[in-house]
Amino acid sequence: MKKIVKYLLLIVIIFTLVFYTIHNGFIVFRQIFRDLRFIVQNPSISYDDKMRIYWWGVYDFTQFVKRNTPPDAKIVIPPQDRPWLTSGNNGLMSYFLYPRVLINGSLYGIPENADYDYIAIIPGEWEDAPAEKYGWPKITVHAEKIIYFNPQTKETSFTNGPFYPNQETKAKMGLIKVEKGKKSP
Amino acid sequence: MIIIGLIAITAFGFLLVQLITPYLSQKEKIGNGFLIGIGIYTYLLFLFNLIGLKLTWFNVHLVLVAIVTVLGLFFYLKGTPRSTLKNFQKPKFSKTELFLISIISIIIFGSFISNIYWPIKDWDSLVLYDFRAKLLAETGSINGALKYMSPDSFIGYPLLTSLAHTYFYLWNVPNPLILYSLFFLSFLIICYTRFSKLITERMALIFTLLLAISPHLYDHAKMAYTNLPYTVYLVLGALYIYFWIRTEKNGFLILAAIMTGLSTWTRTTEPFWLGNIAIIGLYLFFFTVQNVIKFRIDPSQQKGVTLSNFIINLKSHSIKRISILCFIASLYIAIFYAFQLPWRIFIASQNYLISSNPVSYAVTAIQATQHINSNTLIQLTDYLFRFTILPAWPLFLTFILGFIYQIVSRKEIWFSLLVLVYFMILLIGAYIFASNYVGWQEIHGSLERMSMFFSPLLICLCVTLFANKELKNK
Repeated sequence: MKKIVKYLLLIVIIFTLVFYTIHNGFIVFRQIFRDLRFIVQNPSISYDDKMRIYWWGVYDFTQFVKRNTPPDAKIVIPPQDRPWLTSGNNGLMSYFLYPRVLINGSLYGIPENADYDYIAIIPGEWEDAPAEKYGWPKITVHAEKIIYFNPQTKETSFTNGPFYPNQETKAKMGLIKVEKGKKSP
Repeated sequence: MIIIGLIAITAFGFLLVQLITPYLSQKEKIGNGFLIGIGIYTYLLFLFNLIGLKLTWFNVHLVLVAIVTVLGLFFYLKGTPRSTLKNFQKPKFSKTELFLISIISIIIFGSFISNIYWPIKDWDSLVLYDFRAKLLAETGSINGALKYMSPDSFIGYPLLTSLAHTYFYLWNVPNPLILYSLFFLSFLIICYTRFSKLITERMALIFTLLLAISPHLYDHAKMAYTNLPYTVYLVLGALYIYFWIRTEKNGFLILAAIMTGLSTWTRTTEPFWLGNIAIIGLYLFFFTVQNVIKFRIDPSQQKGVTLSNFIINLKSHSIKRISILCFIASLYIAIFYAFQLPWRIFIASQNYLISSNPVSYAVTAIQATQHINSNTLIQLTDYLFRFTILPAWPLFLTFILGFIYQIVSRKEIWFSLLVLVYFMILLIGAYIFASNYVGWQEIHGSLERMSMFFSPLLICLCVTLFANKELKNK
């Protein structure tokens, strides 16, 4: 009886392991095949292209900020909340923008007494937030200049301040160069 | 040129393994050489940096050359390197075995190619592990890096992977992702050689293939997270404890202590290391009891056993072995804490509370069980079932059936007990977390990653179920 139980158990164990092997083998080899196919089709794409695949417009935005701010700039970014879970993540944005110092703003404001030179204009990249939350900053800012960034064409355009949040700016990306001494009302 | 550095790090680990467990095969020593080499080397860099050594290319190599030279000289004077080289044997494989090796090689190759092609790109590695590495390379010190990063984030995880990345950046190599392929490769090599001590070569290759095609392991062999190194160190620590119990070769327990210690040098949040200490303690207890009982029924004893006879004979029979076991278990704890404590002291020096000690875990567990919420418990069971058990259900089923099989066939159950203890720790830990954190159900990805070591651990358990080779020196 004991022998039968032992063999039955072994048979079930072997059967289960065979199933596990086939199932996982299929998953892993499909992945290897996909990875290798992509690499063979795109053997020489740049670091920027690779990062763009993973971080979409956020990566392009960080490169735009890098081009338009000095390394010692202090920049206010949106709060780490929906829809800015990526662009409002101080740690993640710091990885791309270091040594620039990033400060998280709140939904309707900028931290009081904060020392900053720029404010990021970011509509919000996560799609599951209420419509009224999109578009940041939501306050008027006295600006030396405003640099807008078109994530589709990668083109930049300049206007003079101040920055008024409205339906048009709600969907835009860019940077506000803050007018020193005249901080946000 | 970085390859020379990696070879030197592996050589350092190799020599250390040669010192602790000279009886391991060469390929196992090489696998261990990388894992232990990179682990202890980064640990030493951390210690040296705390006492003021700047992390520059010259300094990190000064440390590397010094440790390799000291160990190398020791073996040169002993005459071991020549005999070690002589021991290299050309392996002979059958056609089936070569076929299995080819499949495993394709998987490893896939990981290497992917890691050479892609830069570091995953969320946590950018936010923490790799960012920390870049800051360390640029500022040359932990205190320097802390100026640019929130201390809350910085102290969240120990520095093993970050300092390994830093080593790459000091060589001006922009992509350290290849390290994770090396972790994966070393793990497979060691597991294969360990498996082949228990089952036939062909079966060992089949089970190694099973490890290689674990989707979680393969995924993590292509990203710069700490979960793969943690899994590798923790599982190998458990496997070496099993071999220590089976063979009573003390070197295995020392290796297990280093591996488990390095697992806490990779991640401190999960207290699975407690399971190892619990199993070693249990084994010591049963060994002691068993020897006393054995003595009581010893047929050479006349009529009855008097108390004085018992004590005198106990001394002559097994007290020496029990003393050695107690000593080696204490050594295990000392080595383990030598790896864990410095990081905890560093956290404390940053004015953060540390809670990763057995007493605080026990207090928290007791507090949590005092007011058990049945609703949370039901939700948690469902949650664990979906995200921990279901992704590897064949292995968990095997675990249950294997446990019954071990009891029916009166096989030893130490490895199964260890898995069971790990699972209990997961259950209690998840319950405490769920009781204290409202949004616990939203982070199932973390739970999946935290429990990803169960798959390789259960595969190792399967191997022990099929074990049909007598281990030497029992």
